Amino acid sequence: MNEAEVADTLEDATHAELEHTSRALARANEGLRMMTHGAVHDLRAPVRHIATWTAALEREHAAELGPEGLAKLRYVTGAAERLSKLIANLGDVSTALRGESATDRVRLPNVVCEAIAQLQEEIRAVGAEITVDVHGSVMFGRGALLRVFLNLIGNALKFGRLGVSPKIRIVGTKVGDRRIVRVEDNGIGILPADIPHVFEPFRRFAHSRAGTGLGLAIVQQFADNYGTPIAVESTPGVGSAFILNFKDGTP
Amino acid sequence: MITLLLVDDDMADLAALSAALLEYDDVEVRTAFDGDEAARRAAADPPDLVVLDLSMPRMGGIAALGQLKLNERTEHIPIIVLTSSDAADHIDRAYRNRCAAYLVKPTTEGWEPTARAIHAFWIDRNRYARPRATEETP
Repeated sequence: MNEAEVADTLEDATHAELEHTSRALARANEGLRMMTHGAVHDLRAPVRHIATWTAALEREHAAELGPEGLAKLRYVTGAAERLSKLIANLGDVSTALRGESATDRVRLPNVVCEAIAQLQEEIRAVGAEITVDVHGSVMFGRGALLRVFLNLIGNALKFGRLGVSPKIRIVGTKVGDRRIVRVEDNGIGILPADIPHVFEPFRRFAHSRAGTGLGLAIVQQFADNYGTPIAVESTPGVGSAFILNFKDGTP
Repeated sequence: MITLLLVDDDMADLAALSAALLEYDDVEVRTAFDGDEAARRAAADPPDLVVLDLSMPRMGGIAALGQLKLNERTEHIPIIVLTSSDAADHIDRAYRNRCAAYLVKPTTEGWEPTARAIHAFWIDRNRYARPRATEETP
């Protein structure tokens, strides 16, 4: 065997090994997705029952429960609500793990404005100022893109600085055949050491707030599915920006 | 670039109008949900144009119109009233409080004509405001 043949054999072996690993990974991923899907399906009903029956207890037996009993019951209700949010997010994870589905030409203004409309309660609650400067279309899944903006804007609303009125800007620019969209906030920011981990599921940081710990993981999974690199810029105490690099879809 | 402040407590209307206006590449949209918030936002960072609903909680449109026209930081900003009411007294009160134009919300899903009217209002306003000399340059 000459040098070239040795190199070829080695290359073949590496290829086979890579293919084997990639198949194993795909199998593991599919198993994980099936498990998530099953868990979401089976958890929904019991959690709904807890919510229904605690509400009935509160409605019909408030007098017998007394103030202390009612307070305890509300802990249960609160926990059921959090659990139900977590299950809904797990459902999104399972959808995201399914990989790329149909790619649509999606109008950015429509999706961003729809996300803002859906987040109206949260926006009003914190008195956030929202500015939208996005135009044109991108190639993505419509439902997935709505989820991406709901999670990113929702996050920006959650991590405001105490005593500072939250300002959120969603800005897009066309660069060649790409469309770069930034979701910027003036919130608490992310510590440099935490930045590499922001997209990891269930990752909690020093100043974590209420949430399921899955929002950004879902965003990244959807972004991956549609070939959309995502990055974060942040200065603690000043604000953060999540930057999505979409394939432009403007005709 | 035109910076628009859209003020409406109805999020579905606000979202539909924002999306229709963002069809224009030179438009940037800011939102407020009531008159009080609108007056504060406009004074803090004056937009080019305000689009204002009339019936809103906390501070309604007419009160907000008055507030915006009383503040020297915002009195120059043209205000378009966009509301579902076509009642004569509403129209009358809005113009008496110095709105620049009064539009009635579409009864269908089609917001494009409304967005076009708002955009055209701004473009024409700019053209008419320009000095004669610049008009004559080819």
